[in-house]
Amino acid sequence: MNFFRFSLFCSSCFVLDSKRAAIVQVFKDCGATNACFVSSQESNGKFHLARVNNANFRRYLSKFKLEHFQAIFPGQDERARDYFRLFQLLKELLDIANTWKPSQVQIARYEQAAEEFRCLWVGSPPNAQLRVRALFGTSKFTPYCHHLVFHVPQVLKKYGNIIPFACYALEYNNSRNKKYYWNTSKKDGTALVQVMERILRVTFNPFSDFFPFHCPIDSCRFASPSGSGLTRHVLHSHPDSEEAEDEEDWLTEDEEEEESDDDDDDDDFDIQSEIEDHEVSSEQNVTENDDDDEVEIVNSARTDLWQTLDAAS
Amino acid sequence: MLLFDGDENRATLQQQMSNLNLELEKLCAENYRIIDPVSQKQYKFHLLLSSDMKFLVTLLGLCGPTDDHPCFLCDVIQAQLSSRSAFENDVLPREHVANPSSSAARSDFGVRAESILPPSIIDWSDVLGDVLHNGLRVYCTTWDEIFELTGATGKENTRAINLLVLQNSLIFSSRSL
Repeated sequence: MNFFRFSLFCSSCFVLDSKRAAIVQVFKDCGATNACFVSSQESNGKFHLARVNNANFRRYLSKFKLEHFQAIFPGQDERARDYFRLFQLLKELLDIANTWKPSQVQIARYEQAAEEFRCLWVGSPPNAQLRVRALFGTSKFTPYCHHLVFHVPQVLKKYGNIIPFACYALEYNNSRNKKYYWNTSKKDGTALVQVMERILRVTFNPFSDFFPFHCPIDSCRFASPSGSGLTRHVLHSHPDSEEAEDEEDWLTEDEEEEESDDDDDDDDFDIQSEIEDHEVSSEQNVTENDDDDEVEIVNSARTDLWQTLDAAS
Repeated sequence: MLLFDGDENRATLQQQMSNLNLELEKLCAENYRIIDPVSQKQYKFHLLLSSDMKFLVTLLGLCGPTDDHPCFLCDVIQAQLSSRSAFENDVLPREHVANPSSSAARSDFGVRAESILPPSIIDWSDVLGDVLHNGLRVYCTTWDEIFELTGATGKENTRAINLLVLQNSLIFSSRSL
């Protein structure tokens, strides 16, 4: 608590101008728990946003309110409304792009929202019926914006889905490998070998199949080898059970601890929740269909795995 | 999986991708088909390349987002990056534009160096963007532009702002204690 009082004292020593205080208030209301703002030498000492990870920025997008932007742009209600609309559109675009197999209606809505996003960013052309003032201008339209507005709908139409080509799993592996790398011994010069050995130990552990984590509901057959996705499964599939109420209490405490313990300096993408969602959805399909065929398929796959392991040994 | 200790620059990638290129060329010679020795099942592959823009630019030998042709999927020029009419009428995808055999064609469309991947393996139509980094960068760019417009840039009060935001995490940690 003393450290907490010390930080309050330090922050009260500085006087913030109103606009910066309004920007800080946005992120405080969104529940930002880490140092979000940086003035680094790479950006010529400019004040900019840092430490954004996937879970946080999509969570913030859903928590922005019109009052936040009215505080940043006082006395300019139309402008504040435009900036708020811009972030709403960005959230809508990313929600559709992160939907597993979006429908044709959603893809059409994506194109409409992308066009509105572009018009807000660069302004509408002079012959348009509804004139929109440019928020940033054409010179600030980056190649990433170009890709989000023009090319993502093309990929959605061609392949029907863009999540497999996103780098969620790769970035999750990257953060995990970094964690493993800093836990290795650097004496022998075999740090990468140790990382690979640990990955093999964790991901191809055969004993996790023998002792999985079962669902606490007796009638349910859900089982997770590593235990991941179990709490989400209980919350989604058995929301009225006593176990779900306990899990909700645990989940809130865990989230708070994770947010307070996050100390990495690099971009750290939280893919675990995305993976768990897909795991849960796939497992739910299995539990809903009570046929024995799928169990037989799983058993035959396991026997195939053991045959390959025997052959390899 | 390919793990190496080094920076993400062209020289390191060229060195580390050499072994992977050999395997990919072998796969290409087998017409992208692999037979499982246990179950005797035949699997057919279609290779797609998806990554963030910096890695793709380094891998494919492009010049980057400040070039005249900044997009890695089409030949749009820098001035028409936000124009929908130009995109629908004038711009062509790279698969139609650049099979850069001659050096003149290569320099015209922002291809400044040889691709690290062998050209027989990856076609331009198989290159895709990544929506994760895309969303992150657009979000950060938007906030940076708002900082510029409001005049909130400058480093003098950054420490105070970070301390204000850090109070949230301190409240959480004091609760857990």
